[in-house]
Amino acid sequence: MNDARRNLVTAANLYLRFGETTILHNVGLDISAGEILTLIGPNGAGKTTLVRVLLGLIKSDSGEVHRKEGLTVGYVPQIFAVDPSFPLTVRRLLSLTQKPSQKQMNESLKEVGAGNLLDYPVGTLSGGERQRVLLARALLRNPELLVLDEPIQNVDMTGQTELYDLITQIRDNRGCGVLMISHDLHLVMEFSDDMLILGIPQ
Amino acid sequence: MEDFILRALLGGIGVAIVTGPVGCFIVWRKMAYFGDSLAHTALLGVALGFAFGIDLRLGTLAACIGLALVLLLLQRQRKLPTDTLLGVLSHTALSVGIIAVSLMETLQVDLMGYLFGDILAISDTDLLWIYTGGAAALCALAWIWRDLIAITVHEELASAEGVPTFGVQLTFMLLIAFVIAIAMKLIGILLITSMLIIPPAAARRFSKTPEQMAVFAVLAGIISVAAGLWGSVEWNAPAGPCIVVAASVLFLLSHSWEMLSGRG
Repeated sequence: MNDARRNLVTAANLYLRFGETTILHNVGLDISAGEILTLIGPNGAGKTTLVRVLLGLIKSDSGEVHRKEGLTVGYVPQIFAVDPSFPLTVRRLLSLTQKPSQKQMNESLKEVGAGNLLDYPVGTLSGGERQRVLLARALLRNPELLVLDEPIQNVDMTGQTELYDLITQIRDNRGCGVLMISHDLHLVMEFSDDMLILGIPQ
Repeated sequence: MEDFILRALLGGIGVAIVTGPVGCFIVWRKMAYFGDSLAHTALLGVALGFAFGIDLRLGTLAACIGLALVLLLLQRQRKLPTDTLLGVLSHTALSVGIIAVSLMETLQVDLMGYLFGDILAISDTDLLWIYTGGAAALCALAWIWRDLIAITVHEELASAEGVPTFGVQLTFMLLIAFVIAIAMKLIGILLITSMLIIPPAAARRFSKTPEQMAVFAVLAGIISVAAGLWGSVEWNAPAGPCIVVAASVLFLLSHSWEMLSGRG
């Protein structure tokens, strides 16, 4: 899987400090198309920070990140809480930064098993439904790489397995790479092709 | 209708058209205290305007932008929470403003007028400022609308998808300062935030999209201005506070309806 043509993101020797705290200490990884790579580690190990560095949202102090030229990324962030004062429907959420057609939105929601939710207020969705809608939103960008930060948070046990099954299925159908953050070792072992374990740096 | 009441009504409606949509973002982005701090700084701007002999609105704008920049600088140090920083800046600016204005007694500055507004003393120049300035503010808001909505829903997601988050947020901060500068004379610096907060809060119950909420907030603002002015004339009470009370009544009505219809 690891020949250079299929590589989506390559990173090597990443170091990052925030003030006194070392966040990343000599981290490197490769993500290829069609591969599910999971970052695991305790809270504070720098998983989300590493993802931000890989996406180019922040810069590491040293080390190299190489993204495939023109790489399209679908991102599902960790914390997604819409303030109750903000009236937001699923339809609007799907078209925040792009303009998908009605047909594209329906197809995308269908792909994640949330076909009937298009006109629901986001605030009324369950944890599992919300993750599916965010996944549909990421898929609308036709991503070569899906980045999922704790995709099973606030999802019940059966829902968790279903979501992992769905992610695997999406990978199989679309052949995209998947970079996932989790702290649940048990489920991750079953569904990942590869794992990167981050500890708390000393 | 008396001429001065008609002008007050026109001015108030002009302000409500701008504060409705801008206020929605202040509610959604939890910036009420920021708006309050900018408004408190406005008095310092008035003093600046007198001291340098420039238009008071420009003085206000300069002082508000100054406060926003100082806030950004202090926030970067990450030593104290933002609401504490705002508390320090806001009350310092208000106190310095009151001292400065009271030292200018020879100029006969109407302190109460600036604190609580003097919508009945509105001039044609004020009207011109409100409508041209308001139109400019709405154009600027329309220009950043889509990006600001995306940032309001999720800043990091917007940033990952290519929205220039810093520039858009800076533009919005400047926009708030501008709106306060043009609306200050009508509602007063201690009450101006209420025109930004209460009409959107009253509109939330009836809105399914952000745009609907902005339009309903404008309507709620216009009703508050008209009802408040009527009450002010009827009971010979100060107009600014009357408008705020009218807006609060609307808010309570919308809220009780929500509770009665069992959706609270």
